[in-house]
Amino acid sequence: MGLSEQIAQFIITGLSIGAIYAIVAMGFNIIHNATGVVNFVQCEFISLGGMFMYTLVVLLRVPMFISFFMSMAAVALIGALIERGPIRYARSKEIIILIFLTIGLSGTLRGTAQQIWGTDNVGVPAFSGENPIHLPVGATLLPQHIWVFGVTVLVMLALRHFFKNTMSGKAMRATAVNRKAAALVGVSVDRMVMLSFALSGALGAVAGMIIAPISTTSYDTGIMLGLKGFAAAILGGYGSFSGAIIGGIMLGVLESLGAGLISSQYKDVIAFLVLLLVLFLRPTGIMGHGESERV
Amino acid sequence: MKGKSLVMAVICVAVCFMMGSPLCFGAEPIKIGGIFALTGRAAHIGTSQRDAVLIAIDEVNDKGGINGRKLEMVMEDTESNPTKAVMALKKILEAEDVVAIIGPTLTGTAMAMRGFIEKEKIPAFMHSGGDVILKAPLKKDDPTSLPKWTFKSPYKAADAMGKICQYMNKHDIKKIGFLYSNEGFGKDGLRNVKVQAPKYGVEVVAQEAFAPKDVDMTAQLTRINAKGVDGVIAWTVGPAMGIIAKNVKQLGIKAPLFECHGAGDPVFWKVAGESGEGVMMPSTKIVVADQLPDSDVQKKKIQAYVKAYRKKFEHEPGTMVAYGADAAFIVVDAIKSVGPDRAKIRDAIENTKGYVGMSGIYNISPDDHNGLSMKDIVMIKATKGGWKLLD
Amino acid sequence: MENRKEYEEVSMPRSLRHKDVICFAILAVVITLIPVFVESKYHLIVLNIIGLNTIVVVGLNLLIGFAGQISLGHAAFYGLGSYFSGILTVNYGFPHWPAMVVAMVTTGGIAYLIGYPALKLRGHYLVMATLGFGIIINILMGELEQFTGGHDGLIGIPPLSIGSLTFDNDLKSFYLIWTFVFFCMLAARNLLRSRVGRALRAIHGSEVAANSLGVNTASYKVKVFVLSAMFASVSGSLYAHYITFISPSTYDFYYSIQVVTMVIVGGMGSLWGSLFGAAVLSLISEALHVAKQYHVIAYGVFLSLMLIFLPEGVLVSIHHFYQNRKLKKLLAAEKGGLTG
Repeated sequence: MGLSEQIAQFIITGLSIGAIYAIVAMGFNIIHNATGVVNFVQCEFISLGGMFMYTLVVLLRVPMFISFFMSMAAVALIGALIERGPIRYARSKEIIILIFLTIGLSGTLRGTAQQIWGTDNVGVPAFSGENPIHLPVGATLLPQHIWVFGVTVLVMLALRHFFKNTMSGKAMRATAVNRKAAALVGVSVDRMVMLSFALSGALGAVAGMIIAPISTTSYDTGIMLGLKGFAAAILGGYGSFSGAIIGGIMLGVLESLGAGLISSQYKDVIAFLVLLLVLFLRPTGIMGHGESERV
Repeated sequence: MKGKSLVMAVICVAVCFMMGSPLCFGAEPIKIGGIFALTGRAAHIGTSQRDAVLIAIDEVNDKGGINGRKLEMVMEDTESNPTKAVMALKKILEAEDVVAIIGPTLTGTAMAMRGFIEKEKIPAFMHSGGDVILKAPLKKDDPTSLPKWTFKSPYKAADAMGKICQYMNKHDIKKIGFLYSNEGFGKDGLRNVKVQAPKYGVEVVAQEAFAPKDVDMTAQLTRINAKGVDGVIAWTVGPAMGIIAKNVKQLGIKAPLFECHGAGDPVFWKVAGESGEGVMMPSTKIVVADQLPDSDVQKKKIQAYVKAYRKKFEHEPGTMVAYGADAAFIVVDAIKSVGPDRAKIRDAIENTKGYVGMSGIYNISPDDHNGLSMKDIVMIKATKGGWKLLD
Repeated sequence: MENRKEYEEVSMPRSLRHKDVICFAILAVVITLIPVFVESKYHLIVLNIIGLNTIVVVGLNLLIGFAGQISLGHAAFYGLGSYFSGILTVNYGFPHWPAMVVAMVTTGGIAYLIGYPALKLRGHYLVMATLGFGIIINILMGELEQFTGGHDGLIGIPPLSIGSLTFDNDLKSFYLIWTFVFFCMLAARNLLRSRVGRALRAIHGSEVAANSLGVNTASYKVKVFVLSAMFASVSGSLYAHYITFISPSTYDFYYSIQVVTMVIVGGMGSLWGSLFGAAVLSLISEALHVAKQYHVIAYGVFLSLMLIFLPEGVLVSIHHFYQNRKLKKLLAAEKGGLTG
């Protein structure tokens, strides 16, 4: 196997992992834009998506297609409930308090998930078979990787359509730009914030579900993916949609190339060092704009 | 009047209850401490070890306990964290009159607890995989200061690695790649393979690491495969066992895949799915009990235990269950023979000879606080959702 | 809300001066007396861990509460303190007190190097930068095996000693650790009452305003970052010599999150809140073990409820409750005076 084939493999791998990071980063961004908060429950959205999928497909034998949307709806509902309950009733609206509130909520959810599903990792069947596909460049990938790319692109297009062309989407963007002004022109800010939690819940679930057949899933798979997704969002520019895609893919490819070409021991060190360097050179991430702080 | 008599009645009942409980249930129970990683990153290992010990204790109690006294386990959670492990140890030692400790799960927590166990002089039978808990001296400048009160039930990782290399030697596998999880257990494996492989004429031509929670190892495997290996060893416990098997299939790597001695567990099939087919690994005999020849002295005992395990937990036991059970049974035997006295129990454990356990035949001695040897390990192959015993 | 803050800031130095003295005196008495009532080694180790956490939290609170900068990388500084102390004493035979000073200074230096560019970042970018830095250091602890002992940890770290007094049990360590807590808190309090403290509060209030008033905000932020790292380092050194064994998993990002949580639960910008936050969360996380396997859920619920209902921190909330009552009484009296 020559070097060019190896590099092709590294890039394919990096792209598929990067696509997952991008979706997770998108989830972080949506809530950030609506509230300014880093929502660490995003990690739990990923785990829950995977575990719901497992419960429906493997334990209850519900068809894959239906399970996918059921899990997505379930996690979206959990997201909405989190906003409707604890976040809304929090007596302080200070960003840092809310951030740590999401950490507390995330712990509660994770503990509950551990009690429900136990601690073991479980597999979920691939969406369409497991026969490797050989690309002409010398790399191989699984049908599931195609699903990952396909779903990611679909999700991005759907989000773009939602924010550009629908009333709710426009209202959400208005809320992100200026809450007071949005409220003045008749946007129900509360509803938009709740919608953003539901939406990022759905996104987290999608990420958890499309990766589950590749990486298996458990009550705590979301922690590492969530953390990397957050890193990707920051790398791309927090709150920026194109930034989430660029950040996610960059981080994924960086990890994979780092592991493949430099050192697999230090691959995370390499990825985070690059992240720090980018931040020091461009303090608002690759696609970020000047105003980065809503605190 | 009425109120007073009611109060008196309640007090009477309470007093009877408090005094009566030992009378009703025989003498005061003998207590052992169980310290496991029940939450945190090693929760998946810790909970199954806890179950294994609980079964053993149930068995002892069903047979009437120890000299008429019930056995009771006081349990604490290390949260997979060394500091919390030390706190849990002190808590158990303070709160209860325990005669021995079983656990902990992780090598890191075991290392943190070790010094305090020696200081408190309480025998501890640990479940952690790393050999370092027995081999590393307590004082850096004094290589003879090995732990006196610490034992470990899983066989030495070095022996497990030796078994794989021996198998490779027999089947003409000469150049291998080593893939390990970048934490205590994986690093321990890396050290071992460097010692064991040359002994059996096997050369490690590639070594690659991954983080325990990584979701994809194709980059590392691609690199290993590029070196033209004819065997791959993956040293990890957890989801990566399955991901690696899948990645090997995806990349079309023809070289056979070997995994560590913790892989022979129902979880392996859950995470690997169909890709698990054909993966080989060293294991305790517990997962292939029915395939053992009748001449095997462990067979009957293992089969009885597996039956009890299936009944209680409604799933198959994994290879690691054996370690938990052995630790519990050896401690129980020691208590039976010398009574609930910490120092005597320690001596009794250290003198365990020819004990037929689930993981093998224990010959513990002052120089060897584990007591298992390579003979106790079998090679198994993952086939059709189960395990096949290899010769 | 706004008014109250102003009122506090203006009046704190003078009106709280003797209150502070009383508080420190009470702390000293409590520290001296606790071992009379607490004999259990388990309770002592819990208290010691609270003490170690308090030192980190006090330092971190200077950064978060007064300078308004969030760091999710303090596990790294805590760990650097532990590892420098451990490596110098075990591998190079350094005497332990100088090793601790070297650890503190070196950690401070590293904090300066990372803090200088990082503190130019704002909000969540700073959070990520410190988080990333913490993860890098944590990985290096495991990888640089020849120095750190890798994931198997560094064994045989000697306990601290003064002359013939060796701090080798929980009780002696209790006095040692809590003496450090006492003086760290005293140092933090004196710092806050100085020019530096006023500058820091100004930065928290409004960085732009502080800047335009001639406060070199960037330099102050870096300085307080370095200082908080040094606090963490001292605590880490004490931990290493107390437990006598260190390994990387003690210093993962969960620890960073834990200490920031303590700052917030105790009350951002409240010195005594730091002690309170460290104590409450350490105690709760131990006490909730009675809930057996449900302790993770219980802790999450507890933390969430605290942050929903007492967002300013326990101590500050109580303080405000009493102040509100006083204020109401005063207003009522004034009203009475006016009408009467």
